[in-house]
Amino acid sequence: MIEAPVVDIRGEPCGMPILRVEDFLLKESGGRPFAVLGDHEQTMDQLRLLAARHGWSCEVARDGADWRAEFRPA
Amino acid sequence: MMIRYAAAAVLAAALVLAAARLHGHESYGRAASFTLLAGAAFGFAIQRSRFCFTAAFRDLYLLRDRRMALGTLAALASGSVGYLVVLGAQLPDPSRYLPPTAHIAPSGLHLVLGGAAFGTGMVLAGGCISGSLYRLGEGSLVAPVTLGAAAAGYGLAFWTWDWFYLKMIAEGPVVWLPRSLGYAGAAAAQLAALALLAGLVLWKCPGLPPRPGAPVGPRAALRRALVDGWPSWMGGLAVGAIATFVFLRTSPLGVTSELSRVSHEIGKALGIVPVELQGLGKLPGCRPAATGAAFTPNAIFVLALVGGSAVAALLAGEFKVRVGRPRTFAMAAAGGLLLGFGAMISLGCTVGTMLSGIMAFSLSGWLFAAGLAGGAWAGTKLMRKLA
Repeated sequence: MIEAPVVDIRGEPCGMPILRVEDFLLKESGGRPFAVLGDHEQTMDQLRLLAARHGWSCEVARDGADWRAEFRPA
Repeated sequence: MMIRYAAAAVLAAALVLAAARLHGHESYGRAASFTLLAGAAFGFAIQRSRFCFTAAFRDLYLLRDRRMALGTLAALASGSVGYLVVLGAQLPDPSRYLPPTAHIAPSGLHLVLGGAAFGTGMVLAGGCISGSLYRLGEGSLVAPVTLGAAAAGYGLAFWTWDWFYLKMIAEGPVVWLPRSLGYAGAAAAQLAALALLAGLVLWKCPGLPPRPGAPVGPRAALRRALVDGWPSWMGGLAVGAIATFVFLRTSPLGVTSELSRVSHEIGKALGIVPVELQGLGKLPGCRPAATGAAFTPNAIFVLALVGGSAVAALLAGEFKVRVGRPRTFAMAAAGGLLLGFGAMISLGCTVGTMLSGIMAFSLSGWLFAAGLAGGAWAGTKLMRKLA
């Protein structure tokens, strides 16, 4: 089984990580599920807005001290 | 977990002890003690609520995320009501004089230009000056780069200061809404404008649905408010209340005057900036007077802000050394330069000019906010190209 690719946005200030994830979703994901690892709750919530705008689903959950968002095409 | 709680307790105790020490110190006194506690409270509140002026604009443009925009509007509305009470007591007849300490600055194009530079810079840097200060308390290593670059941006602005002062600031009209509309008229006009903006945001930007599986109800809301992080509106109300108390007891909120002073002192010592800056001492909030004590009131406020933010981050488990990618540092440096330049020519930043200016019913705050909105939009476009 191939593991879903992970985009790591931990440690980055707000704004730019959202665009990096959007870029990955549009250009690199190939329409396949991927995960995002982050450490900023507000940014992780925004990933759900981002996913909805592109017709994807996004589930965010705690992953130890960090957060993990699972992106899937709806 | 115990270590971070212990660290938070030690830091909080150090802040309280420092406040007690200042209270009895002949060079500082009660006002400095209050300033320290207010700075710590401000840092705590903005960290817990992730209160961020950058996000208020950028997140609307990027994602139509309305949370921080509404939080900022809540801060402006609650602070306006608080200021109204204080100003009404200080100056019952607003038609004859200006409140002497409020941040009511000359209006003009400098505010729009400075706001635009500041708005672009804050989006590139990922935070404005107050945002960078609270992120410093969370362990960000990017924030010091932003703040250092902002000091350099001040240095650049010192070279242009006399031109801006003579062409735009010195003769700029000082527009204080209560002088022409009365307190009731100014409050009605300003609160209506804020309500209109809130209505537009609510209409155009859908709310974020609750996270699936996340508990809802009063208990969950209470936990979110006290443990997980405050909603942005709660942060806004806290900021409005702190701003009112600080204005009542000392002077309006502001976070850049000490940065400006230090930047000028360093520049002068190196011989790379003009020694005299025309008219600066006459403008509200721009430059703390050297008191002879080691720390100016603004320095005390800013240091306590970082401390209060660190306490909040430690308690919430959000303190972490955050490094970021090389590009993040480059953008922080570029953004910081614009922050410093913009703050200098617009006589303050999102806190001193926008927040304290609008709360004081000054047109200057609104003009800066308009420039900020345009600059943040341009910064968001630029960030999209750089991402």
